[in-house]
Amino acid sequence: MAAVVRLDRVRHTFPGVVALDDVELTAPPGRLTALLGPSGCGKTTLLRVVAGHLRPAAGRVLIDGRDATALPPERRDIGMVFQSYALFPHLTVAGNVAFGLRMRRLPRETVRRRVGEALDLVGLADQAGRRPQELSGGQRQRVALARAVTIRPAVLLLDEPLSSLDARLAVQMRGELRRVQRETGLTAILVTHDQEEALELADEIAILDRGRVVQHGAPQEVFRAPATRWVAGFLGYENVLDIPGKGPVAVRPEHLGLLRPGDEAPGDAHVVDGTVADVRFRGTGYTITFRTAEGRSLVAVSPDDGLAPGAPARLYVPLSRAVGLEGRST
Amino acid sequence: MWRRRTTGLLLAPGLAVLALVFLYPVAVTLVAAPAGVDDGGLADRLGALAADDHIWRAAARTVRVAALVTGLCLLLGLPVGFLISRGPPRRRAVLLALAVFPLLLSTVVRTYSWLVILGRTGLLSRALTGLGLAERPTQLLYTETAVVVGLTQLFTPLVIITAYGAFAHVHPDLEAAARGLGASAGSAFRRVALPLALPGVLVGATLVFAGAVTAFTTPLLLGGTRTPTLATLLYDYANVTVDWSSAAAVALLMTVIVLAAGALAARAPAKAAPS
Amino acid sequence: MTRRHPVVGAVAAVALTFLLGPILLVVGVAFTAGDTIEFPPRGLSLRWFAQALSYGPFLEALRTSLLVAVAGTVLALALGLPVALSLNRGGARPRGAIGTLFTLPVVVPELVLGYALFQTLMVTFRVSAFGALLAGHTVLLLPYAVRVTGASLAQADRSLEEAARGLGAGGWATFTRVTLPVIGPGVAAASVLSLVTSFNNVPLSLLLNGPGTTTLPVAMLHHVEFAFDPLVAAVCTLLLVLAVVVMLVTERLAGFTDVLARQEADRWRP
Ligand SMILES: Nc1ncnc2c1ncn2[C@@H]1O[C@H](COP(=O)(O)OP(=O)(O)OP(=O)(O)O)[C@@H](O)[C@H]1O
Ligand SMILES: [Mg+2]
Repeated sequence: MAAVVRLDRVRHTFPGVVALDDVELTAPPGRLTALLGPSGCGKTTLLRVVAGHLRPAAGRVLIDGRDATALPPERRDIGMVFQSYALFPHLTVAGNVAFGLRMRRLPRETVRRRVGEALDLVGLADQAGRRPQELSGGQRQRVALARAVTIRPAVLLLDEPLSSLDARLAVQMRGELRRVQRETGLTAILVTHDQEEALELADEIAILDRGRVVQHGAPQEVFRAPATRWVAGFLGYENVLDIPGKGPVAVRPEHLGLLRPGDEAPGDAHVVDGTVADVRFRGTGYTITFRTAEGRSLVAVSPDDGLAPGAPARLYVPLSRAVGLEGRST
Repeated sequence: MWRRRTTGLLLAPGLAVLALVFLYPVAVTLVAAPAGVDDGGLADRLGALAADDHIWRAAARTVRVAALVTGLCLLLGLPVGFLISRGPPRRRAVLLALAVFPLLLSTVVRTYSWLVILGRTGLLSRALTGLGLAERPTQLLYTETAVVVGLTQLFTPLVIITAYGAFAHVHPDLEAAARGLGASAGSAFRRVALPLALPGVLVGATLVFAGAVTAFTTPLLLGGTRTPTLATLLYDYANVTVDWSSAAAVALLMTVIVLAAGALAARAPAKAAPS
Repeated sequence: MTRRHPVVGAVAAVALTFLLGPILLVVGVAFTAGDTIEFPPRGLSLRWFAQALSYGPFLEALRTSLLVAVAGTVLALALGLPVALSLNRGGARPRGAIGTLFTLPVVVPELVLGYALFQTLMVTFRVSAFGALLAGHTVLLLPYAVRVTGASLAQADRSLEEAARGLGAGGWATFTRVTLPVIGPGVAAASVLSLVTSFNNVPLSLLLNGPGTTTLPVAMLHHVEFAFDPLVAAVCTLLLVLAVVVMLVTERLAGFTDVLARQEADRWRP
């Protein structure tokens, strides 16, 4: 049932913007591929092309090897959870979930059974008779999910499904989402701009920048070895510094170590001298900004605040944590 | 993903009716006579216009009355619209419904009441004699003033409703900020709320002006034959004296005035808006 | 909360009295037992209501008015909704120009439209007065139909329709099962106001006169011009009651003042 989705040099422009710039992407069957990128990079556009709401200017959309580029959305067999959820306000929860089944002219009994199953799957069996307007954000999200999976689509598309929930609920719903995707075994494409969400949920991550896929791979691989300076920056490698013999490298703030007077740096580390420029409290610790002798700014995190602006400081970079940028495009 | 043919098919019937029952007839009437109607062409129309003093006097009266009515409607409607927009929700709904309710009534119904008030045996005339301010019953009808009063009552709801909409979009905190900076209630209104609401207010004013220029029932009933406006004159030429060339001339003049007012108003907010 | 300038409140009170007072006066006149338009009424009776409800010309005019209003509204909607769909969903171009074209009938003075239709349809093409009247009301209401359905469509979340398509609904099923129910209340409220607009219109009916085309407002107008009895006051009172009903119905459907405000304000926003 799970299908492969392949985008073959898909290109789309809006007046003045190249929203998709020759996108090549394969979403493998039964796995969850996360599309990660900043606002406006073309994520929604890509999903709308896959779902068939937008006809790309060039390129092909292949579903299980068959060219679907010209198929209307209702014949693609794709379930989609919209950023706004797009729940039908004039129908009840059950009516929303049943919609796709009714369009397939399934017998009444089947519709009832499958709506029940879908609502059970998302834990909303007791809300069947209510209207979307009467539900909380998390409940709406689940209805949208139930509605999309109940048609047993070949592919499930999720457009920032958690972004309109508050932070705690969003984290809780991540587990739900993953469970539903695993249980249904669907090929899923999840759009998000939250890297933590992408890393936690996805089997594969594709990073999109200004309409281009700039990196695609397993979460660990993408996270440990960003392909470009831009990806490194986007994934939180905020510090760039030169290490003799290694050239320019990128390091995450939490990987920069702070040396107390008298401490020794570990063997495989590079040491940098600087002064403290700023100290900010961030709950679990402090964010400390340093200025190096060459005038670069480095950001590190520290559990305590024994430092005051102006104080001299020594930092070290474990070489295993430094991502070399030499030879990578910007 | 719509097919172009579907779009065309949906558009076609509406466009066809618009062309046949609106664009063609109006163009023909304003610019060139249809075959079989002997009212001459545009040149005759302009000739009739130039020659007919009657038309020019009526036009002057129409514009004068409309301008006066617009001013009065703004004077009455702006405070009401503002007040409603700043009231608690419940009061807002009730007052707004009251203020715009008259728009549901025919102009005949709304103008009729002034016959009761302004007629020779009307309320006002009897009040004047009763108070000893007039010796004999006075006829207040069939004057320009009566028309102005009637039209002002007719169109004030339009200003209220558009002003309400405009003021509702100006956040009350802006006025509060002005007050905090030392502005009185009056100058907070004049210097903050009003300028921000101006584009919406202008829409209301244009509606009133255009409506007053083209109003027919009220000038007919309250102005009578002695104070013709362009509208009553057009009706006269078309239906009573059957002078089609003059009727077309008046129609052209009326249309031009209304369109010019609309065009002026459409340009104004763009100029007034801060960049 | 914030304090208001006292002048504002005073002007508002004056304005509302000026707006509503005269209308209420007419109600008083209608209940008179006397033979002339007079306030305060000379004795109380319902005789003018009884007369109004059995006065042939008014009853016939009422029938004409209702027929034209209903037929005109249905026709305008039947023509206007597809136009709004093609503009808001079908990508008809040039969108601005077509949209403006469809607002023109309310920008051109009604009297001019009436006269133009009289000349072209009735004189040149020999269309019956009733046909011309119905055509006139239809084009007069067409802009409202296009605007209001267009506004409802613009407001409705497009992803609702995309969701329906994705769930397997074709174009027609999406329209009937999602688009129409979503824009329904707004369109219904607008239709009621469209009925009112047509029902109250004077200029078109006045110029497109012929057998069976006298509408109620025109019949009332003619009556007022020649007779000075309170018959029309009674009719006005009955229409007032009808207007209250209309207001309550529209309020329930979609928020009366919102719809009315949009309808009026849209006229000069090409
Ligand atoms: N209908 C449209 N008309 C014109 N431009 C559009 C349209 N839809 C999207 N764009 C433009 O295309 C680019 C990509 O938009 P898209 O909605 O795909 O971004 P996104 O990655 O989903 O962003 P977000 O995270 O903010 O949802 C943006 O520059 C946007 O302004
Ligand atoms: Mg998006």
